[in-house]
Amino acid sequence: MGLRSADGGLVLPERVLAARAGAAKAPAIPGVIPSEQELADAAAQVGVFTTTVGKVIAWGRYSSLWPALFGLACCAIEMMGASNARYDLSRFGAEVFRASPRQADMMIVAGRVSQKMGPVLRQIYDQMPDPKWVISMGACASCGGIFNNYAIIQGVDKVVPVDVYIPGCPPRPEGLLDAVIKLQKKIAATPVSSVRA
Amino acid sequence: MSPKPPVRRSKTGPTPAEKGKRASQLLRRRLPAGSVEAHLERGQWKVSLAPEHLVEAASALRTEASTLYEMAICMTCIDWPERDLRFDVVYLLRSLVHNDLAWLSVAASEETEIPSLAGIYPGMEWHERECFDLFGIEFTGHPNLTRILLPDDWEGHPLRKDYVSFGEPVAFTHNIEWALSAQDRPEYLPGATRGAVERP
Amino acid sequence: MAISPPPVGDGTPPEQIPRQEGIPRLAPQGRGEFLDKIESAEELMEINMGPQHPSTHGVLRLVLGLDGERVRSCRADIGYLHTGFEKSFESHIYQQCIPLTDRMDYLAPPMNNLGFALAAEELLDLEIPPRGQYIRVIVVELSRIASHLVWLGTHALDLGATTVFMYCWRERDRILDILEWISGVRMMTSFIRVGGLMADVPEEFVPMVSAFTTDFQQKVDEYEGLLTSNPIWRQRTIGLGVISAADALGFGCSGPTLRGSGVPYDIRRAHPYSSYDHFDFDVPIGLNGDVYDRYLIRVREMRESCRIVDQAIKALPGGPTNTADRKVSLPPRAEIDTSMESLIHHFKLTTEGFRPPQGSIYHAIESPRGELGFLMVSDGGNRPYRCKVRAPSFSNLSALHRMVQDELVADAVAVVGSIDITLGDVDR
Repeated sequence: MGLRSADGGLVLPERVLAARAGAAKAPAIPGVIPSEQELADAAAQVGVFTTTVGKVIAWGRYSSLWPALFGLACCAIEMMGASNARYDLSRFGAEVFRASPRQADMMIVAGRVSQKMGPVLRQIYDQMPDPKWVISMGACASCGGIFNNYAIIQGVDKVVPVDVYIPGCPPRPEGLLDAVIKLQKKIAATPVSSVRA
Repeated sequence: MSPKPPVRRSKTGPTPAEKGKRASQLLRRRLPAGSVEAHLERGQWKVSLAPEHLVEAASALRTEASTLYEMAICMTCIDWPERDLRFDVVYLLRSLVHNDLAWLSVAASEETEIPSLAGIYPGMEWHERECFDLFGIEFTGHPNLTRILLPDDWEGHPLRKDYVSFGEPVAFTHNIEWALSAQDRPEYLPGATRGAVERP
Repeated sequence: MAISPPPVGDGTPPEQIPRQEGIPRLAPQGRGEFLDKIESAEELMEINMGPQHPSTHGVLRLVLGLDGERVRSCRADIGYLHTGFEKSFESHIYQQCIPLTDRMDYLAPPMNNLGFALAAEELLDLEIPPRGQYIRVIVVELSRIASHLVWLGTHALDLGATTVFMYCWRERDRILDILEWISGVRMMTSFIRVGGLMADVPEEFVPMVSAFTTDFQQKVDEYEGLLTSNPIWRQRTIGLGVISAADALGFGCSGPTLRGSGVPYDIRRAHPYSSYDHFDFDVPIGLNGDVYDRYLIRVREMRESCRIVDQAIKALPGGPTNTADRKVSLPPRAEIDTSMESLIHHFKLTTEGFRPPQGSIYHAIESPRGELGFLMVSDGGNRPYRCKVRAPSFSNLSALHRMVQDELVADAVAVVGSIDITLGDVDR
């Protein structure tokens, strides 16, 4: 229903704007027209709440991100540490590490990607079904890290598009948890029907 | 400057003046006179020989009771580009019974054919492949001389001194485009991913 | 004094070695019937394991040639983590190489630091004060325990025992807390440097380490209680992945992989470095060369490392931790304010570094995986001319095809786990 203006903003038809404005100004007449608060209370009594489809789908997506196992080097050990008892990754719904990329929707590239591994990384990313997200964990995955040489791809975003970058060598498990939370906020803010560019 | 404290050596192994001495003595006896050259450096006897004597030397070192160098430690190469025989191929063997370490070194150029020791020490097979991969030295008689660490279609041998290893320049203010993330990078720079992901 | 000859150095096959009481003899044929052996290699079915695989402990690719369920050939394809460390060493000064060495064998980073530092100190002909040596031993043995905990957790996880994975990380986090307390970093500490340590340890170090060693033995009892007498674990590991001592020596195996086959060789005993000869510890040796033996050896090594740490922390001497040679080790901060010479040393060290005399040496230490050696060549400059890293996992992995020969494909994972490889070590 929305149309995009030249600068990329959303332009709503006039009747929709008028209806929205009108609804905000409609006074509540006791006993006849319920106020917003009374409506909400009555709905909560019977176990109903209103939201948008987009929000529910996004909530479902970000609450159960299934990472594909892509631990390459040292960062993988901290990733294992993040999924263990002290820094519990399953609080955020992401403890189900799937070996098969077909069953995963998030890829945490944890470690340095060598020239031989680059095509493999792309192949695993392509095998993941949509919607999918990529977290680039650590300095080596984000930009090549301390290895500015012939053997390491200088940043995994040369091969796959990345959503969240985590600095550190290796990042603390809390860093990975922070990245997962940021990714969750990003998913919550992304419209459901958008296409990733 | 304060005086250096005395250096303490291992109590259980042989004294430093003798590490590898058995190897040099055996090889001087076994191989033709003049083909073996040994010198003592920092407590280690280092034996230099020619490639054609390498197999005989290694099998003698492995099987003779006085030496019994059964454990293949490693094999590597050092590149001295200003020399004629630029590569210094070094073999390290350990004898557990005598608690000793043998250091063999073979001088080679890029065209020298060095016999493979994979038949005597199975562990040398992978070390020789790594030497071939990173230095380009050919080993004759090797069961599978292919690249091991780098992709099969890689060109060049990185650990040679004339191979320049470089990733990408570090971004400063004069080349700030290198600091942008790949999605925002201008298209003339390598690594730009805008448009790289085609979606239906 | 020579160590006693290895008991099975003559190539005695493992079936003829007398077994310990209580461990049943399970010959390879006992694990399933052999069907008619196929005639030629073309009839083998090739299965690809990895490089992205939950149980290859990193990016390792194994191409297994199967005859039904039996593995007849195994080709390991490595290089997926090749980082070019040896080339990078040639373009960094010695102090800058220390953080690089952290990332090679990333399960026990202080071990790599120690190996590099000892090799450089041998080139410089330098000796470290006793306090520095003892603290090095403590840090390195703690990292050995941490590495074995990761190995045990992941090996057990591969075979299905998820609880052990959680328990092991509980202790590993405590060790990483100690390392973080002294160096500021959990894993890649760069604490052990050429000339001594990064800095002296804070006063909470001794109580923290003592608290750890006090209850660590009971934790190992917990892990053993879950696995050692567990019939499922025993059935899955006894008699599997056997390698004879002669084969292991020929391939250059070292560490628990070699000691599992009965060869009593430990570099901490054969060529003691950094005051290891001051401590009283046992080195466990296996009898059968199978996966179960290597498991028992590593669990026992954890206990022995705890003993070493206990002895070292109780006998920790006072004094400086770094060598007094100002051309190698930074002067203390207070000295820079008063002495011009110290200021110049500080400046030279941080800009140029030190220059060892020309020469080449090989120095090996006992890492959790085996013999970690550094062949260092100096041309008199401030950078290593060539620093070859003799990685234990590289040689141990080259023996894999012998260990997995004629085993069931379902057991290949257990064998790979028992060698305890770290791909950063294999590929460098």
